Amino acid sequence: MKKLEELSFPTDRNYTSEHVWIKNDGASYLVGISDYAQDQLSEVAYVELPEVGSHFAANEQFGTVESVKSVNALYMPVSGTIEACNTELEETPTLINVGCYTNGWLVRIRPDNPHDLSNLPDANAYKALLG
Amino acid sequence: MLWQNSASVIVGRHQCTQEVVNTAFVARHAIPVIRRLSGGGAVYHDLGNLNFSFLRKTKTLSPDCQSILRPLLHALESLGLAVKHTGRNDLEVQGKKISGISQARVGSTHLVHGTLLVDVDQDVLAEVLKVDLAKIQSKGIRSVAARVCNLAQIWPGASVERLTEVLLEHCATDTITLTEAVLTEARTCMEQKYSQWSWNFGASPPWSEERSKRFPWGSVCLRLDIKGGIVRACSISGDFFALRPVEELERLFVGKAWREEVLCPLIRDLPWQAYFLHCDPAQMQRFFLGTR
Repeated sequence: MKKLEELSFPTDRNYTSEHVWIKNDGASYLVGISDYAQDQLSEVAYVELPEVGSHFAANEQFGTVESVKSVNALYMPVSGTIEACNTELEETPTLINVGCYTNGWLVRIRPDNPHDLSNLPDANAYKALLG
Repeated sequence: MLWQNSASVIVGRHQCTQEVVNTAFVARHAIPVIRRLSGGGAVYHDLGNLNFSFLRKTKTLSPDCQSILRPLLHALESLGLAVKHTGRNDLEVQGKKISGISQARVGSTHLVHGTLLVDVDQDVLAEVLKVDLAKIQSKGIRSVAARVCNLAQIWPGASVERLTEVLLEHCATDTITLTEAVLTEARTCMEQKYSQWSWNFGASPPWSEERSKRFPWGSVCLRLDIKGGIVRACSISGDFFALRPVEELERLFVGKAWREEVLCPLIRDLPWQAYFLHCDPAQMQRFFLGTR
């Protein structure tokens, strides 16, 4: 596993203590797992994502990710509705390892209240949590 | 924690049960199939098997499994067993697997659990996990066939009782009695989740199933796409004469749970000979149920 200095944490998004990131990309909000999480899990073997249209509260489990090591629960960063799932992960779950901030995104959501994001750690605060 | 199950098949969190378990065999012998929270492949339990669970609260997402398992390895070594912890997260003695280990994390609680084969019925084990990979396909986790070995073959005097004693000696620092509240919660979990078809079978990754058969009057090919245990698409093709459109049958299956309890009453009284001219209705029911 990598050292903290070797991991990347883009500053254009927010993070949660459960290692999920959320980013406003204009149209809606993308959600994925952090570089720390993908590195700890190592090779991802399966991702279970929810039905489009389902609604979850903040911190509620919305899916699972299984790596060659373990199964981990995925928790919602803010309350909101699932607008889309990254269906490419069905065929290639390792996209999460290759690009956890890009092609390896998990879901697109519509937050109930976009202001909720401001309560989440930014890149620096998240990095401090890991230290 | 040390625990046992009577004869049962335990599949990994993201396995397609129908794909990795010999469903005909387990149905015939009334062997329960249960989905676990942790990852990896299907295993067989019986009373010749001893299970262990280590639960840890950890901050790091992926705690060092080696160090969690160290007391367990010491216990086995104290019995004169040269145990090796492999990269696949199995325990091996003399190159043969005696234990399969898997992990799950919920919140900040990390679970490492596994099997220890003391004197498991190897014939049943081989049979329940024997599957026809061509028929059902999913993107779920595959089971990896491994050469498993009972400790009884390499440890003179092997018994679950003796192993339990030694493991408790090395791994347990204190005894915790499960409170009535915890037991009630466990029973509720069992009733609402772990005994339910929707979890054990329905929670399989989406899968597709294809079967075809020749009959004296023609041939039929059935193709199904199933998600969440529910038929999402169904197509019936082949070479046969029909008095009624076969699309009626396809529409009948879409939206239904693909399980015998639901299918049986659904197809019992269908006008089979109108869909497949000159067919034997009982034989068609068996074909659609996937039973021989």
